[in-house]
Amino acid sequence: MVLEMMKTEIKEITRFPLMDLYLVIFLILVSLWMAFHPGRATLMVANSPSEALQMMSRKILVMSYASIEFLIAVLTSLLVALSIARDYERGRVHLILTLLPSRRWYLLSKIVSCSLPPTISAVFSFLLGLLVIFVTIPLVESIIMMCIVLLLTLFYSSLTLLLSLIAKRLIPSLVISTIVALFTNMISKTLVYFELHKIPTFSIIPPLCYRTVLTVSFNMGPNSINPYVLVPISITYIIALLLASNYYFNNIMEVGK
Amino acid sequence: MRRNITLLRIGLLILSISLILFAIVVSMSNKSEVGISRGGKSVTYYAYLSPAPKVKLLIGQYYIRVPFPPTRRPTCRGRVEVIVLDPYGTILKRVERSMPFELKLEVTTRGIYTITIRRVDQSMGDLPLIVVIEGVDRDRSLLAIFLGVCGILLIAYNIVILLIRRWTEKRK
Repeated sequence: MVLEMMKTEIKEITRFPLMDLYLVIFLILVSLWMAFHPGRATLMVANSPSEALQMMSRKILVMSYASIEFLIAVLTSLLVALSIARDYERGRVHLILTLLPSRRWYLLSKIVSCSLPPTISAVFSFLLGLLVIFVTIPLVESIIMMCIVLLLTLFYSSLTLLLSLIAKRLIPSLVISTIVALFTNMISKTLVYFELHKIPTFSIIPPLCYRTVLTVSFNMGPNSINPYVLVPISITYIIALLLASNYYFNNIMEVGK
Repeated sequence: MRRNITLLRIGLLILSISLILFAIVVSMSNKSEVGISRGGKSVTYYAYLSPAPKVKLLIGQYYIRVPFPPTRRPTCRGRVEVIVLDPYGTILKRVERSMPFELKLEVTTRGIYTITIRRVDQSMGDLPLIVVIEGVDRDRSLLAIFLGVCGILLIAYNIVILLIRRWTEKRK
């Protein structure tokens, strides 16, 4: 059931050249950033050449992630808001609400299918950027990066899902989700700007927690934060938002014109 | 029809990537400099270098981020031995001179180069290094050209297929 729903949703998304647009936008930003960041020469102090290569690829990945975090947030939010509003205005939500067992799968399929295009575009751009810079792709770093980007997109899609279900219509959903995405990102950037992200209490605030997980797992972040605590916390936000959406969709949401 | 449109999209995408890369290559063709400094009897620096026509190592000179107004760079003294290894570990250059001095390198492979600076006399202090790189980035420009050609070929193939299809439909 959920696979069928996801298939339909992905078909709906790919009806428009969204993936191509995402790829071009991400590539412009990531490739430009990644190509300029190491410059044409970089000097480091390390124990071995492989350690120097690893240090550099990690540094570039973290910096690139920070530069396109905002874009991932906005694009994912817009995609989910558009998808929910389109379903509501076409009357698909009415149909879903008549089928009791499929409600939670509907929400799950929505966030997974809307998270995939930005994740694939972002990860593809990161890998291409690394390939251009280093000729090789560091496997472990790439997998960690992929997981973090997926968590970030899942967080934004579950947040926008709740907001779009409350807002229902197209324009309010788009406006609210964009404002919330910008606002959360602004908070995260402000915390980093004032170097408050090094304090464990602030570092668990989403979406900063995803960047903290990345920096801690790359040994580039503050040592006081335990990654084994941070990872479950960052997943909990997504689950909590999904449960809230499910509760709202099942018990409170009214379907009417 | 859908398959052809997807091919056209992919072609346009590849072409746009190549244009981005080409823009990067053109904008990065100017001179760039980086510097580092550590103290000790012997220091090993790792330099990530990309192939370029001119690569210079300035040993014994401190790096100044904005050299304006043009001032003389602070230098340090002492006789040192410099060993430069390429990414495969083979010795590229091995010289023994008094600081400050300039060393020209031939960089043909992108990667991490190992630069070891060791004092051979009784002098003490920092062992600074500046890397100056000039000219067009060879690897990136080649990649941009390759991707551009792939994109154009894909678009051309797609247009030819569409034209043949239209022509055969007209004949029917």
